[in-house]
Amino acid sequence: MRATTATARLTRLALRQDRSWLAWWLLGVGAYVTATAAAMRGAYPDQAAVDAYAATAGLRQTERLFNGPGHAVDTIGGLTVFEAGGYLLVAVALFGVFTVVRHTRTPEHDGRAELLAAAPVGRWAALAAACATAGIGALALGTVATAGLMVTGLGARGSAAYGTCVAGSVLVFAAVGTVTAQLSDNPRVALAAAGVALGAAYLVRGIGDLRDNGLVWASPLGWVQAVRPFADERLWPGLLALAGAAALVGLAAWLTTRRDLGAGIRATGPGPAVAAPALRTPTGLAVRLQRGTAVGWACGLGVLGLALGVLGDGVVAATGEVTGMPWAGPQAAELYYGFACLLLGALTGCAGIALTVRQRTEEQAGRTGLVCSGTWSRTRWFACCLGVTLAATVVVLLVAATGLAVGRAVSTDGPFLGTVTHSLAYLPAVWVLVAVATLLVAAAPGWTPLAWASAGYVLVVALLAAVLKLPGWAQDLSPFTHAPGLDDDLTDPRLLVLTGIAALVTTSAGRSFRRRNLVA
Amino acid sequence: MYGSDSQDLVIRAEGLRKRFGSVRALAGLDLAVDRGEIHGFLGPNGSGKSTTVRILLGMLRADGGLVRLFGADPWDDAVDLHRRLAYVPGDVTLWPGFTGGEAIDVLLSVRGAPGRRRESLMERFALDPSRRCRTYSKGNRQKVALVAALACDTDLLVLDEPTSGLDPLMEAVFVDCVREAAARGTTVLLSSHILAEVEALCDRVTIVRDGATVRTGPVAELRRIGRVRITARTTRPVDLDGIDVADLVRTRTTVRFDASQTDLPAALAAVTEAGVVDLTCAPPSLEEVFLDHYAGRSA
Repeated sequence: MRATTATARLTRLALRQDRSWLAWWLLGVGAYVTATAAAMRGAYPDQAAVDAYAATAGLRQTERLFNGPGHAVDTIGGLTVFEAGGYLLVAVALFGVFTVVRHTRTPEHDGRAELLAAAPVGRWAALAAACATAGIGALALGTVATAGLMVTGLGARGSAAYGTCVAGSVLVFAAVGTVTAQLSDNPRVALAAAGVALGAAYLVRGIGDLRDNGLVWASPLGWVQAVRPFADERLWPGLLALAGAAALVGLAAWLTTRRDLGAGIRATGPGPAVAAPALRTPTGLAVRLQRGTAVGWACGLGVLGLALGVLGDGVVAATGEVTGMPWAGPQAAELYYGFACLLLGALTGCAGIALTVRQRTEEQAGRTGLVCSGTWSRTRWFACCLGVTLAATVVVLLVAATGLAVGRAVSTDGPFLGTVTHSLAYLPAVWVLVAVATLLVAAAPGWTPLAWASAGYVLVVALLAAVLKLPGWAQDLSPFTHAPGLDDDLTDPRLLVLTGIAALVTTSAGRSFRRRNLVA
Repeated sequence: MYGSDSQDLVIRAEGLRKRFGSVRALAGLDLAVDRGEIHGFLGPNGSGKSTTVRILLGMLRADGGLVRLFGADPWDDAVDLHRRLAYVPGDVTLWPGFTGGEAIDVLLSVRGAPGRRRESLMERFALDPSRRCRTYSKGNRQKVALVAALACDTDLLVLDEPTSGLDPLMEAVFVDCVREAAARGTTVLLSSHILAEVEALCDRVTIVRDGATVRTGPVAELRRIGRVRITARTTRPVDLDGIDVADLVRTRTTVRFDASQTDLPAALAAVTEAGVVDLTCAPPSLEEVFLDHYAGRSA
């Protein structure tokens, strides 16, 4: 077919560019799967322990909401998939989205696609190559997940079924990414739109699993989890995911024929001819550069908070009748909302990291050098960007916390203000994450992607510390472990200590940034 | 199918129109490039040159008008047409982690062309192929695209301000390379702002402004339509009544003015009549012709 001429060549090119990206993901997924499965084995050493766990599984409504349906939880494999497997499906979905966007919209946006488009390359070749690359990635990640479960002694059939879930999630959301990459000329918008789709799929699946109804079929994550690893495995939901992915890619291919190279579906209109006075100050410029990303995160987390707040009612009601269990009875609400606050806090940390690593992009594009070539000193520009990022995290967490508190007040009669302040208690921990990312950008710019590893670590500790029975020191490494609990007030000394650490790290980052050479 | 006189046209665009939202980029642009010629494509910034080039390459779809490359539609037959051409944009973006040599090889292999002149061109352009693209200056990135485009034989070279960022030495190398390509029978469309380059290379030029063609023709002919500058010293005042001259500066015995080619005989006669002592007659530089057209004054 003419339209796909040179797809094989472009796929090889994409794989060449993705060598380390893919390698890190394979390593991460393999390590995560193996570590969680091994930890489960350690935490539930014999069948009696597993049975005891399974007896309470019906009460684990929070997990059903966050993790998935939970099949065959009376086996160590089913237990692992239930407790740790659902999160990974969301993470690898992001892998799929990022992989296709970086091979479709990003080169068009940067201008790299122009030289290739003038060569005998079919109109759909870039799209097809991105899909092929994501497909190879899906296969590789699925294989690694399967192998990772198997080396801990789990059955081949169930392991392969979970590997299918991983591959299916990558494929579906890669396909979602191909569609969102067509909408706007900006790759960031493509990523954000796909992120919104993923968030919606996650929530819809969660509500469906919580209520145990057909709503799960409205979410691609519901399809892949319906493969039921370690229970009565079925292949057809995986095929459903494949068909869905194919349909979405078809839509994306159609959209490419409706637009010009480099353009979105709608043309960007003209803007103001004169910069507003605020834009002419370093703080104003920093606000403008971070505004879009911050607003996106605030909206996303606000909606997530609201949904979690409203859903708390169902979670608490399902466990409320049983007493004598730590996660049931009156403590259930506290536990659930505490967990929701922690999750929103950790995700706000991700927002802070996203805003911070942006400085690296700015520097590589030569814009930092441009900004600092005038009368604004490097230290001043650095401080302005950091200050705006810290302020943005306050706004994002405030919006998320308000969403949660409103949802909670509507569905139960929980305390509005208490929920907000409890969420805000995670701010110093968020700032520590931002400080670490800032230090990387300022002192070791080549290692900037490591900032995301710190976010991943914090999320693993937040979501899995209890079930994995992680050792104390491993939990203590995450700043979120040290945030005060629900009953403590906001004058807790730990908040000051965390804020102090963040201040110390950012100060040393600022010093490094002033001393080193600027890129470009 | 297009009549006998357009059979040899490699590029044929008539009444090309293109809008980006509310912005009108092209408003009836015409362009015709014959087989084997080096055709200059000139116009001020934002006049629609790059938009036209991108339409010719099938990256953008024209809203209206006719466009043909080798007699085929560049949007529908992009792949087949691209086998016959090479393109150099004015702003080259490469893969930051690749070396220059890798980038050249990728570009050549995507075109499926053997880069026979790869080594000699890298030497002539003094390009170090083992450096990473992210460390290249603008001129060096431009060289990468030039080497990839010139290294193999093609029917058509599309060059969109290809020498931006090159030093004068490299520009001279570029001029030589394009001449060699033309000698091999390659048709060249050269969009450029460097008039010396255009003058040295081009057989014909097309000048565009505000998305439409204002003038097209051989370089020599364009020069003819420009005004001639006459400076003279005479014994008596010159009587220029009834003669259309411009930029007149005079004292009692000296006079300086510009006259069009048609008014030149009458103007010279008037000067001779006044008892000429000293006379210089300067042809218009190409630069003046372009400036006249760019600024919207007619010559």
